[in-house]
Amino acid sequence: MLSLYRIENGEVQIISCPPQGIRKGEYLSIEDTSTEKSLIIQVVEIDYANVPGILEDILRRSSIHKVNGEDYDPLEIKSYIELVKDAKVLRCKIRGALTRGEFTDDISWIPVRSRSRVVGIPDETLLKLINPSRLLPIQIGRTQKKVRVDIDAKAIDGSLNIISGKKGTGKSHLAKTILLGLIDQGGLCLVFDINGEYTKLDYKSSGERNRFQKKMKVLIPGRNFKVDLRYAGLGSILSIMRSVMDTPGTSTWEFRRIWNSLERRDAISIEEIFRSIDNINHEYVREALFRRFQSLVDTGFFCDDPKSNTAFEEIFAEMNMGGAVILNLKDLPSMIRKIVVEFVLSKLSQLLKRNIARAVFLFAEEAHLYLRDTYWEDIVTRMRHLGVFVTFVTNQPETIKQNVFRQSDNIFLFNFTNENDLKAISRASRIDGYTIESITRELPAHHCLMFGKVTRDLPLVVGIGRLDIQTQGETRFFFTPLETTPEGIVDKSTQNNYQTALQLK
Amino acid sequence: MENMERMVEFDIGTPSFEEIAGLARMSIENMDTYTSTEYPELPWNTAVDEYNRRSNAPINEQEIKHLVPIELRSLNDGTPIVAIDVSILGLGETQCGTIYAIRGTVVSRKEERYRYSRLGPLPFHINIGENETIKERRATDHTILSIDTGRRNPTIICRRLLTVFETMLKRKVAKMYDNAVLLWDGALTIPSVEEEIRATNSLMEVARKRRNSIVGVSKKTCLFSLQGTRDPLQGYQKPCLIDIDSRIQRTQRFLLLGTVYVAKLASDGLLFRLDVDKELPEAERIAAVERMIGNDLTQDGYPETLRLAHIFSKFNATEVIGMHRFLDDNYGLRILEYPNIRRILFGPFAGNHSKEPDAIYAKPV
Repeated sequence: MLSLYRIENGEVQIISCPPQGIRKGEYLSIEDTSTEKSLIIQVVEIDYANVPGILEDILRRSSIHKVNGEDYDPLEIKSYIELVKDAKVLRCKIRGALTRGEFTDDISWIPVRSRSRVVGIPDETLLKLINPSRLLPIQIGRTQKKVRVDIDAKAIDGSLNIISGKKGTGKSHLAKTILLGLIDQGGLCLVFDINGEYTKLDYKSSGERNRFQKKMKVLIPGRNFKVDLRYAGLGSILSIMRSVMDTPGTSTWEFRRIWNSLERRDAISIEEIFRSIDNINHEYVREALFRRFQSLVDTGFFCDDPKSNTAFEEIFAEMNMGGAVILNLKDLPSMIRKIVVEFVLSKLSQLLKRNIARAVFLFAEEAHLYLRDTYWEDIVTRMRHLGVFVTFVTNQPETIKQNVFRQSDNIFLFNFTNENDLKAISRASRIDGYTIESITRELPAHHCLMFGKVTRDLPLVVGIGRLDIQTQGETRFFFTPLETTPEGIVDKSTQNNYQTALQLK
Repeated sequence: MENMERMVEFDIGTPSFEEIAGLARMSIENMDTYTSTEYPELPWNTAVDEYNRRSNAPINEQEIKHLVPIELRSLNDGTPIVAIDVSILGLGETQCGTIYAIRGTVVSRKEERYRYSRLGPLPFHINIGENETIKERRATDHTILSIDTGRRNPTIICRRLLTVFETMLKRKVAKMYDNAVLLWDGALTIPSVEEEIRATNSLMEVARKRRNSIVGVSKKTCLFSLQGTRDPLQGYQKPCLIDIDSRIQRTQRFLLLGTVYVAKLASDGLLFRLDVDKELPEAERIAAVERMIGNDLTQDGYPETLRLAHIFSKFNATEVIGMHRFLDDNYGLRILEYPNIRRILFGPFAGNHSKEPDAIYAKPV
């Protein structure tokens, strides 16, 4: 039985006796029969009720713990006493209200205690409240009571999303689930894949191709992703030289002069640029530009062959029914990674300005490893208006600036135990810090607390569903069973994957 | 009654205990529809208490100090030590009476192992007085057993109830053990009413027949002061006894079933009053105490078995709430309010010795 105990400082305390197995994150309703209104509350903490005499009872037990014996209890009263000992206090936060079945955020009233009834809200009812239209559903998992949870792709559209949690809790898995859901709904996506774990999304776990076969394009910089200098354009190159390579102002001015001069003669090529740099009189400028341009060329990412050029317009055109470009940044040196990302974002802005694509859903894993500081704000403000809707995935929430957190529309939090991480999120997110600290600290693996536009700001604990795709982000261990195959001795944990298997010959 | 199967050691699940449990159940079920068969007179003795209250001449500490203490040896011969304690608690008042809960525990130490059997809690409804409804129904229904106090003080009835229960436990234990030391909480006193004396004598006889030694341990007594500033056994490092029986007035001694000692059961222990079965020869009385300290722990000079029996029997607040739920779920007895007159009147100065009922119950119509 659930009973309203008290409401204090916005916290509702419910007594559960006998305990009903209610878990953190679940929703309850306090129905006020006199006004036909209900308060929607969420359990954020569960404590034992401070029953009088419990300490005495524990001390009594501890003093007699070595004494065996029997209780003869003909009226079976002991079970009632045990129930009282197990009574729990559910500490809840008010999330909204229902007035004649309509959800409202007017919570400026409290129910009449004597005429109130506390009941659990079935997950189905809650999910209808959260996502009434279900026009563009993306299935992401199930509630704690195993009810299917869909989010509306429209709630991701135009939004800044953050997926965070400690290592190994399932962040990337959720990102992939959302990504594939968006593709299914016709969305165009771009992934900065720092660990090369999105590269086999078009394969089932059995190794067969899946329905995303023609909707995935994996680009590996320097291999199947090269950019002709003319396609890159002066703006992108200068941006890279300034932001990534710290080129001084005088040198960039000189480079701009060289580029314009060659462009006028339609003679832009790597060789011509080197020749022009070589002709610069000022030794320091010549040296500075030479070394930097040499570095750019050495990446193998830039070329002067139009045939080798990777044009985003063409890729996007092929994906007009939805698809994803996976930018595999795995094993790339830090500087090259930054150059590639700088170029892609710069190019993306240009294309969106020209309406080549309607919008792009950008998935950025551990963005602090390749995104320059000034780009964060640019992404959440200017680029958002152009149609770049970012989903940041990170296990270090403190690397995301507070203003980015504050502007986020949807947050998906996995388990965190580190105090600093919890504080970083609590300070800046859309719901109270107490809820975050209390619930995320105890989330099991592959469960997340999500809130924002996707849940109408009602925090919801969801177990993320499994995907029938090839997992690529798993850690390769030394101490795993090895199996002898015709190809040699293979690590059993990775033998089903197309990723490199540990082979000892 | 399936729990009875578990009561192996003390074989408590005999009809007489069932009777008590049945009586408890019926007393509540029929609290407002009762006819009454008065429960027979119980072996409850108030005479000694009364005498003690009137006695203005407790034995002087100086007098005790002049008596020669008997040094005790610790006799560890495997004698079973068995202690019994019971407790009663007022759960609340109803329109026609009071609900009490009783519980009793037997703790034994045998082969250096403690074992307990706990009986209860058993809630009883005790009717107070008579009213017209009772009179009318009494005429038509004679079948339901209930407890009717008539015009008597309910406190006395409640104590009698406890005594019935305690006597039942003591009888079970006395029948079950041979050559054991049986520890009772309190002094060994003789009742004043003839039937009560017979019941008590019968209980003592059962124990003696099986060569059990009965020892009553009192934390408080009116015969002498146990909290005196001067310890009459100060300077004695070993456990010892002082026989003060001869110093007790003859009229007072007549009411006692035991020989009275001042006892120090551990070298640094507190003093207690011990009553050892008077019928035993003196050497056996001393030996019984020696076997008690040899076969039981005596931290602070108090037998561990009795301490455990007391701890097991005592009700705490959680259990009271649990019993309230039991009464609500099974008999529809709802707590109407929780008044505490002293608390209302005196606030923080009410103290914690309030005798007002914990709760007021009402049975829904």
